[in-house]
Amino acid sequence: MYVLKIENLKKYYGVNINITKAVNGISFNINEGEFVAIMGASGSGKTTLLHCISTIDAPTSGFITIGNKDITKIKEDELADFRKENLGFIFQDFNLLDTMTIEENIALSLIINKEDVKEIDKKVETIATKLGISDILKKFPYEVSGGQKQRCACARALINNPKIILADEPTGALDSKSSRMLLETMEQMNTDLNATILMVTHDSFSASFCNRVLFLKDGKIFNEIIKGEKPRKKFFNEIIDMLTLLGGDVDNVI
Amino acid sequence: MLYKLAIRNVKRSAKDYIIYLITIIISFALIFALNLISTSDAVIKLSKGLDTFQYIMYFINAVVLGVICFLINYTTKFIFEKRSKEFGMYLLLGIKKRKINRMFLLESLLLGFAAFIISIPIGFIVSQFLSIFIVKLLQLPQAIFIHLNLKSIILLAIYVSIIYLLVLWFANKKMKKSTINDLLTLEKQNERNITKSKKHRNILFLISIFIGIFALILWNIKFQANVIQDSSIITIALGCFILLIISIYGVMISVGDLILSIVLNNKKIKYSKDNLFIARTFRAKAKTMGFVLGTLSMLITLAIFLLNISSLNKGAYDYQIELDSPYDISVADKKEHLNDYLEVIKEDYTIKNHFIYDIYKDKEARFLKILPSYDYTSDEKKYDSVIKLSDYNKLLELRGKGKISLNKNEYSIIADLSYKNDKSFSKIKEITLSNGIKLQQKDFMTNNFWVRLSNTGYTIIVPDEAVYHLESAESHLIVNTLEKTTSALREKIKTKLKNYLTHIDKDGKEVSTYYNVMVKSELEEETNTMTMIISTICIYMAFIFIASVGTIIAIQSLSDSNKYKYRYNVLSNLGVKDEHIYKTIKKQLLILFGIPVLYPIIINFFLVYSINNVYKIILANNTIYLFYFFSSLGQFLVVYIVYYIATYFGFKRNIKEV
Repeated sequence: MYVLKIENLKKYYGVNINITKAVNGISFNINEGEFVAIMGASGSGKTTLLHCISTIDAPTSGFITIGNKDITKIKEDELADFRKENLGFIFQDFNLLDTMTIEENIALSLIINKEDVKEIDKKVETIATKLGISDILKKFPYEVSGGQKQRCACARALINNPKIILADEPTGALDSKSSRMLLETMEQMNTDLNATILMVTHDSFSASFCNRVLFLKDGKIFNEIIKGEKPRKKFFNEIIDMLTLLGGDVDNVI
Repeated sequence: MLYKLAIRNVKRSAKDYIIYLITIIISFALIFALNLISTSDAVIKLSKGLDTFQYIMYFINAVVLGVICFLINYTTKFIFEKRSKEFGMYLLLGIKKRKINRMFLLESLLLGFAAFIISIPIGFIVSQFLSIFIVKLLQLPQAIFIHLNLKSIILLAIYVSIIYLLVLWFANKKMKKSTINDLLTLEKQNERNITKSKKHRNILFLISIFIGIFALILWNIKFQANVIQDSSIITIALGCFILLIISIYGVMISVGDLILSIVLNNKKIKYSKDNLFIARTFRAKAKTMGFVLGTLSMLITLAIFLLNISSLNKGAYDYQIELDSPYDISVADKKEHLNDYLEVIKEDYTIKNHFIYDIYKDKEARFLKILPSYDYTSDEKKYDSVIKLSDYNKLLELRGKGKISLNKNEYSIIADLSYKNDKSFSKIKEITLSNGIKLQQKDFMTNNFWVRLSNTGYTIIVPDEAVYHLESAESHLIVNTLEKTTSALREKIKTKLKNYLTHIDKDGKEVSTYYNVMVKSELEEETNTMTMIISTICIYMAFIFIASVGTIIAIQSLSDSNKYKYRYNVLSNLGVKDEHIYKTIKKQLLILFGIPVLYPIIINFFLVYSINNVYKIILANNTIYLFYFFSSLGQFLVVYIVYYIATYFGFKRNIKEV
């Protein structure tokens, strides 16, 4: 049972002869409960792909189906509702609202959905406990550390049980210790809470936490490797080998 | 929740945009105060000419509203861009655009509504102060209380609504057009860079300067003494202004970048003191803010120009009063009537001093003959006016001026400034009066201190003995009183001595010669009303313009201070002391505040210089315009510097904040 299905997706930028084919005919599926990473060098089309999936950008052609809906056919006005119900986001630079406390940030989408106040409190409490941020709920984003902020963003992405969570370089602004903690959190979200996660990253260490890694090159899928029952360390080495094959540099490896 | 969020955001932005808030509150308060005054019956009854004030105000308010609209629109756009990422986030979280839009509009409206409510009591207080000012200016015996009236409040509400409707319409359009992607990255985008290459920039700069010089030369050619008869002047003046505005935009778009290239290309300047840091910091702004800087410069030019007009006008009016009526009361009539005038004045006033003198006729009319008006002058008026030296000196003495002297066979001639370029008078070296006495010309003076010295534009001053056998043309009485006279005195003289001041002419019509009686305070009242209206309007507009400019620069700098915090931290870590950092901030702000001002000052200097070609006749002297120019500049700087200082302290606070 797939959650996300992408068919022959293309996204071109520019006009006339000066066309950049950022995404050039990509197709793949993501099943429920999967934790998938998309890797590739800068300019390989990772972020464009993610933007298309997250409805931030409209594709040039192709289909993107989330649940049973083709999101390329949804009207602008209904997109907001669609995002609210089906998508969760985690960004590199957190994108928390600094006028609100951590608790309010997490609850924001529920509040907008006008859920019962008691129900909201309970949900926030449960998720915060699971992600280990229950003691900072009353604080404002500028009062907590980067790792805590990102876990808050995870909580916000999880709170309304989205069909898929889209993460754009979530560890990009974190130190290695916070990164590892965050990735473990995301792994836990995936296994314990059965969250489906699609993560864009150029960091092999982050990618080694996933079940499956897709490699992009020049807007196309170059290869795909699956973790299976392999230990993480072995998977990590496979990823690095693949990157070398891709021409990605080894400097990215921690 | 949405409304809670909106209110919370307003609270937060209130701290960031305090200067903006204060400015729009003051602007609204001023509009309101002037509305209250211009619609107050008590004020309109005060003086002739004040009823037109009300109608002028409608027009002026339209201009002022335009500028305030620009200010609010710019700031709203600015806040929108600063918060675009947040809006993008809302969109991603699934809030509908319509809702986000409504929230932003609500926030802007809350700010505007708060400003509107606060401005009413402030405007009310300001109007009382203005009324005190009016009472003092018109020298009225008692104060007037300006009542609050519903009409003014409604009018202000309409003005504010118009502004916000426009601004919100723009914001709405912008919001509708932008996609999530735009919103998420808008903050990182700069304003558009207008000049594409160095060459374009240099050409733009040269052409703009050239257009500016051309406009100023055209203006100077047009503004000569004969400007009043020239009907094309309005078209030309308007054309010059349009050219100047084009030139200002062109210069402002290119000059910042130009100066910076020079600084950055010269190693000696570049590496001395903190020039490098400041230049680099400013570069991004100069390159991308050109268009806004142009608008700011244009507003500054207009503001300084308005202040100049206000000063020049006041100067001209004051001087005109001095010329028209240097003494408290003056009367020209037959000698036997003059004592009756004195009696009427004595009824209400204590006489400090008075003086009676005669003007004599020289029927030879040597000077009148060379004037073109000679042919139209009726026979009984074909004479030159002559005054005795001792009388003239007495008049000078009463004005506190030094005496002049003449030898027995000499004469001088005193004329109005309009004769200044007339060489024909000074050519007449020797005259023979109608009594046969020959006199040599000693001086030809054009600094007449009183236009009514005689009833012609010039007067011959002769030694006392020379008037022997000359017929008296008219007698003059001048009186100075201890108390301040009022315009009621002239009315009293007009009614009590009506038979002296009116006569029946050949056709049986009544002809009045009330103009022969001058009371200084009446003139002052009349001209003060005009000066007051012109000054009020000019200063009011100028203030709004300066405040708008100050606010825009302040908001720009303050919102940047967060970005600079990092840069200044780096400087601090590199070992630069705090005082030094503050000095750098001061310099940086000075450049941002200073650059839009320089060109307007130059333009205004030349504009005023040319206007002086016309005005010098009605101003106390040829160079006093410089005084007016610098005092206007001073007025401008006082307000402008307040904004500079406020921005500096705000900047410092933001940088210090951890």
